[in-house]
Amino acid sequence: MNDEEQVWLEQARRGDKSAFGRLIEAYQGPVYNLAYRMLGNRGEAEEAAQEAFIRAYTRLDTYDPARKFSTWMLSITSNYCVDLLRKRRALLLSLDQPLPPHPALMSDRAENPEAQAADSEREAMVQALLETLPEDYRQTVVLRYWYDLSYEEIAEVMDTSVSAIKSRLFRARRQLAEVSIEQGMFQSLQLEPE
Amino acid sequence: MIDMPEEYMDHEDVYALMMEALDGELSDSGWAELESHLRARPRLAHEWEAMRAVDALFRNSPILHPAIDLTRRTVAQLPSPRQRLYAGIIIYVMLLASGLIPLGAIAWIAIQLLPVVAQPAFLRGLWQAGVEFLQLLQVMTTALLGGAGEFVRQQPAVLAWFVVIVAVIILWAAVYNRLVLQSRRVES
Repeated sequence: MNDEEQVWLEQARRGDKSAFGRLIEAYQGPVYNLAYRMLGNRGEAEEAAQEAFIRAYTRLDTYDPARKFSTWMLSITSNYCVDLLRKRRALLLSLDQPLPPHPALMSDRAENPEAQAADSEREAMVQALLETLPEDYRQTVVLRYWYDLSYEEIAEVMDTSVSAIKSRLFRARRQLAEVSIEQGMFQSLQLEPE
Repeated sequence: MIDMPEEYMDHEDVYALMMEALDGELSDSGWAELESHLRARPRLAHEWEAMRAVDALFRNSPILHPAIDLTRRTVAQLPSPRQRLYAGIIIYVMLLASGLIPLGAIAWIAIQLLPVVAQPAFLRGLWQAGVEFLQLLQVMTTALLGGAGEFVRQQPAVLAWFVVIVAVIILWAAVYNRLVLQSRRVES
């Protein structure tokens, strides 16, 4: 967290909403991306990101400045998403239907339909693979791959031990490999250009 | 070292090398060792290729961004400190009232009943009822124990069955503790 963000944080703690708005702007990408990777649905991801920011705002008094703000935000977001996934499972909602590709992938390369189609296909594959994992494995994989967090940082976000994280990542990687082979994704992944 | 599930223990070293390789922490000698293991085990080599492919897919997948007005919409939903203060005061008053109202009701009922309860005839009647209830309890207990004693004297085998049942319960409790509770502790 840089000095400017530190100032915004102090102002937000005193009830300045616009200062917190600047923090939202700075962290909305990582927070939203985490929610999207966990939930696999754009609308739900936006709602989860909003809820995570609101929770963070109401709990600013409990934020420990010794921790990284980004880690604290990711922790709130991922815990909220895990709660949502558990509720969703409890409601027995079917997640089998394919989800539409993310609009960010549609607009960035609108002038190149072939590249856009390839991006969409890759993105659908990413989400399909993530959705085969249990919540805690998915959380670990997302934090490792999209945020490049160390094992120690992931353990801090998920409030568990480093050895548990290593074990989850190991099992998740094996499970993903098995699924990719079983569902025939492996061949197309190998054909993808690096 | 990663805590490997039992079925992978045969190839524990190879999987540990794979994890280090995927984390970008494998040395040149480690790579050589991994490759020699994979050459000797085609099934593992196939799995390794799939792991690498998924790893590359995830690493190349971008950070996605929300709609541009997410900040504005979120700020509009933030609770104001004044609202939170009012909400806190309301909750405090409600909690206070929820404690005071029953206390007041009890005090009012006590004041209404006090003239009746304080009369000597009422107190004597209450005392008499209590004594009679205790006497009834005494008679019932004596009869029950006497009956049970008589039954055991006529049918001593019942006592032996009772001892056997208690022993079986203790035995099953010990087995449950050993097999179920201890394995749960190990898993956790």
